[in-house]
Amino acid sequence: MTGPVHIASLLIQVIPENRKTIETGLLDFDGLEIAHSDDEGRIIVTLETISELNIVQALTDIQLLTGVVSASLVYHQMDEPEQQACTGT
Amino acid sequence: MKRLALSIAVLIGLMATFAFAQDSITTLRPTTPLAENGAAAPMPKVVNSDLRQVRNYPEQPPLIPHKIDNYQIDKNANKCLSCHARAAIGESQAPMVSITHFMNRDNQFLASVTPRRYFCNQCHVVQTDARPLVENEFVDVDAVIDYVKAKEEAK
Amino acid sequence: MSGINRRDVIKAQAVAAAAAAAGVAVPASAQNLVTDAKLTDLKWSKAACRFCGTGCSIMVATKAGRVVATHGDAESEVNRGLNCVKGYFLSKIMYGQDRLTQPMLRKTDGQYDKNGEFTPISWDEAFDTMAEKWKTTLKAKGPKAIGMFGSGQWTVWEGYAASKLMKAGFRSNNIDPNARHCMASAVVGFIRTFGIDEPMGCYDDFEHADAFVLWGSNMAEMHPILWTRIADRRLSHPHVKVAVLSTFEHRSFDLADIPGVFEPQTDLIIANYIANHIIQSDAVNHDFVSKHVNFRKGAQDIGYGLRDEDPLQQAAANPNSGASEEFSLEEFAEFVKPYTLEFAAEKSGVSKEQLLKIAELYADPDTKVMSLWTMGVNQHTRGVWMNNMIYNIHLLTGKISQPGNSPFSLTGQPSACGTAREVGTFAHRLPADLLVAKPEHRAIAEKIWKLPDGTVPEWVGAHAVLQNRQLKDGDINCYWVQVNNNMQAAPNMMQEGLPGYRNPDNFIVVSDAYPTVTAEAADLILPTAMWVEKEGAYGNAERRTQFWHQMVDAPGESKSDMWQLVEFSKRFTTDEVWPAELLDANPDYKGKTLFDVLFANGQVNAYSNDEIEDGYDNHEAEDFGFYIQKGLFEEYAEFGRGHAHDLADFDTYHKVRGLRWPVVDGKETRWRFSGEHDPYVKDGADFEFYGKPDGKAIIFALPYEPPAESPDDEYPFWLSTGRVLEHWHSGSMTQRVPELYKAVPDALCYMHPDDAESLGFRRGTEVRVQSRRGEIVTRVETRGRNKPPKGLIFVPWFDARQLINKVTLDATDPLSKQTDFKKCAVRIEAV
Repeated sequence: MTGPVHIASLLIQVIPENRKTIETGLLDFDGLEIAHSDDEGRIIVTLETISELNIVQALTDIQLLTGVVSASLVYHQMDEPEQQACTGT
Repeated sequence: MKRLALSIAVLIGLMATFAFAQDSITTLRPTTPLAENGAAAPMPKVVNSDLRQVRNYPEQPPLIPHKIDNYQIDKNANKCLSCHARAAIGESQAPMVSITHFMNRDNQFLASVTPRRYFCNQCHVVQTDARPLVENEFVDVDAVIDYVKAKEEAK
Repeated sequence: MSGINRRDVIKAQAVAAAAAAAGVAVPASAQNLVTDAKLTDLKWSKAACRFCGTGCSIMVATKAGRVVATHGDAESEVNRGLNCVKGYFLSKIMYGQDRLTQPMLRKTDGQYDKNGEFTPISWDEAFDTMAEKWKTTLKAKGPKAIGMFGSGQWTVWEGYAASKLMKAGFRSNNIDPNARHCMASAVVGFIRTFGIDEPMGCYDDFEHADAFVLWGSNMAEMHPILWTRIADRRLSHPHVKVAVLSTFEHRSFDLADIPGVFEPQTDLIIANYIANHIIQSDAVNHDFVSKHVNFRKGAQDIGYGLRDEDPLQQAAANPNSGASEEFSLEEFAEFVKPYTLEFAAEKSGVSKEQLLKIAELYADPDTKVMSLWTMGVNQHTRGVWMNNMIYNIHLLTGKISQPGNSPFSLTGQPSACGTAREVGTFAHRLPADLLVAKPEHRAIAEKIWKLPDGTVPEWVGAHAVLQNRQLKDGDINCYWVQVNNNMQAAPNMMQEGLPGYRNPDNFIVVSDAYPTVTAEAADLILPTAMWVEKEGAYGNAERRTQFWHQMVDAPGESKSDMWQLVEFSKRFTTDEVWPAELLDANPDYKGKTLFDVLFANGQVNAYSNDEIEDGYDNHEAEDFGFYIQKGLFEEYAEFGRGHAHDLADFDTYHKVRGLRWPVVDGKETRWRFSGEHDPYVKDGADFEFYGKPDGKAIIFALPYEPPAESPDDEYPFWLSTGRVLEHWHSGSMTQRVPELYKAVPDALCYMHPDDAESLGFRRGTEVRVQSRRGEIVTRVETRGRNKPPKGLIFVPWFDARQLINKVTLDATDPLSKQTDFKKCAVRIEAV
């Protein structure tokens, strides 16, 4: 990959009963990995995308999934292959 | 690898101590006795290289690599956004403000930069060409990881 | 980085940040993400920011015993993930190359010599030398000849241990914090008006107010994260108005709808004008005033807190008097009547239009107003009066103790409230607003401390400025300074600061992490663990108490202030420091060390080290053999529980992002004195100012009085000092962070371009700034962030190479004893 990559983590609070369904739904997102998921309905995912807008879009879509109480962006970094410079935190 | 060597030295606690007795110890005031006044340092110049600097850690706000003299940032206008706003970077080729800057206090995304992040210079500052009076021995996380790895391998 | 993909490292950090925000342990499943998670895992823990009184919560990442990253805590209500530029660089403040790592004593040929050179010694030799000086002095001159100067940067238990050691151990009330330079006028203002210290409102007011009025405060630089909340409110709600009053234009004016640059000291006139306007326009909330307010008229012509022999003190009719007499609303109305719009505009220099707009914000019953102030009001020879007069305005209109209606006194230091004020490390105070001068208050302290009656002395000790005077005069001979840089911070350094430290009769000890200006003026320097090198607690400006764990080890032989205090107490027995009559009446205490009676008293040592949270070191607890922080905190908390200063239990604070006291039944209190929010208000009452016996707050009639020193032909400029965003106080931490240093490396003389031109200066001209007391050499800045009006200059005090306090005047508020760093007369000459 030659362009910059955006790496973000999201904290998602879901209704515990819906967790398994939501996890399946989450895995449909490009570049998404589930890092943590527990019985209290807390899910942490990472996103690896080529633009900020993809992160925003994913966050919006995740919030629309049935059983998702809230989803918030905790961390974002842009990683550029060459000079490894970033845009902000 | 010089950085590795340095970091190991620091990490195992070989901090430099004062080996000799001394009278004038105030590092930030290196030459002038307390009761006297030294000459004022020349006014430093703002670095205007446009070269981005590597950050100490990902959460650090990037430094401003150019002059911002007379930039208007007030309730009527924000000069920084004329280059760094989402819609402006096509033309300016400046880095876009991070998307974290679009979130409000409740972590929801707004259509534009959140007002709580409006005053850029609360976090982002220029750098002058002044030479620091004291070195800082903060060690980059990469060097720490290298050190941990080296230690693991030595076992 | 062989074997580790950089991107995997970033991902691991991203996950760790989310896990920290959610309060879950770094999940094991995250390790699937990276090739070798053990290497890239960071340990994230919460801490309070080391700098200002805002009290942001931050997350600190450690790895292999080093702090490697910090960021704003997303879970914190105070800052919701944000930091200012200083906060973002917290990771580097402990790593200046010149950290002190060993005690150092001035010696010549191996012997202590006041004029010798600093020579590394052991802790044993350091404490032996100190103890010998303390014992000799106590024997020869008694407890009034020893003193201690601490700080609002002490952790809660450090301040508590210091206060207890001085007041109950050495039986000396000569202990004061640098908060005296910072908050003392606010404290006396609270006590006079409400009878209980600290703000009734909280930061939630920012999201509720319709108008913000800054009284002499530059929050954009000094409280940047609170400023983000004001900017958020103002820019997303167009009806919201921001008024900024100051003696010079600064960054906060960038958001001002109503700007006002006033002549120094005329804030007193503006405040009385607003009160007058409220009365004249029939905007008094009569229901509130009749139910909840008393009126009093304060004594006038009270002097300037200078030495008694100073002509200004001699000329005052009622020097240092806080007396007052009964008054009425009608009399008050007459009293403020001369403060008309015309008069206020003429004296202050602020236009009638702007003054009227500000007065209308307060007078309009439908506008919720938050007033905010710090050093402009507090560092003022009438600072207490100004605090009282701002409360007058809020009390007349009943705009108080409700969301958005809030007179809010900001603090400058991270624990000015939590330590200096709540613990009571002032020369006149004990914990929870108790006073040393009151026998019943001393009795409460002695009971909680399990000490004999009469242990705590009744005399009020020397305050900050008086300590320097008494050092110079040779009245105090043994002096211990912890966690502050008072040689750089205190006023009139050349006449009243340096002479006392270098007085051959005195022995000066300075505990610090770095070799500061104060350390250089000392005789013995003790290397000190800082911030997350020890377990700590701070209390911020909205009554929020926040804890953190020790996360890394301090370098070399550095030890925390608390360790130093407690360890030093082992070197004294009661027989050496208490009078025979006290011990004869209480023989059980004979032959015990101060450590035994103060810290091994069955309370402070009641908690085992097994209670320390897994995964965290605690160097003091390991050395003393018990969980000393918990013991000190729980003993201290006994003072306030049940007395409207309730703190939660120790363990709770390690879990939450702080709680605002009083914490009753596990619930914090956001708006004190409000029946709806405050459990201490009696049932059925809408408001109750229960700090006063009759539940009523006081409106004080107080006039304008001139400053101690004003410009004249010889010294034609006003000098105001202050801070800058990038540096914290004297710069001992932030000047060692290269990015912050390079952002603002030097202090400058900010002045009006016309003034510069008329003196023949250009931007960058090297000049002397001189007063009747001393001078510095600096350079002229005419285009910077601060834009003074003609006739006034601003010089910040963070720069150790330009000690502007050589120039300032040690005039104080006569009631609070807080220095006025904002007003003295200077001249400026080219070098």
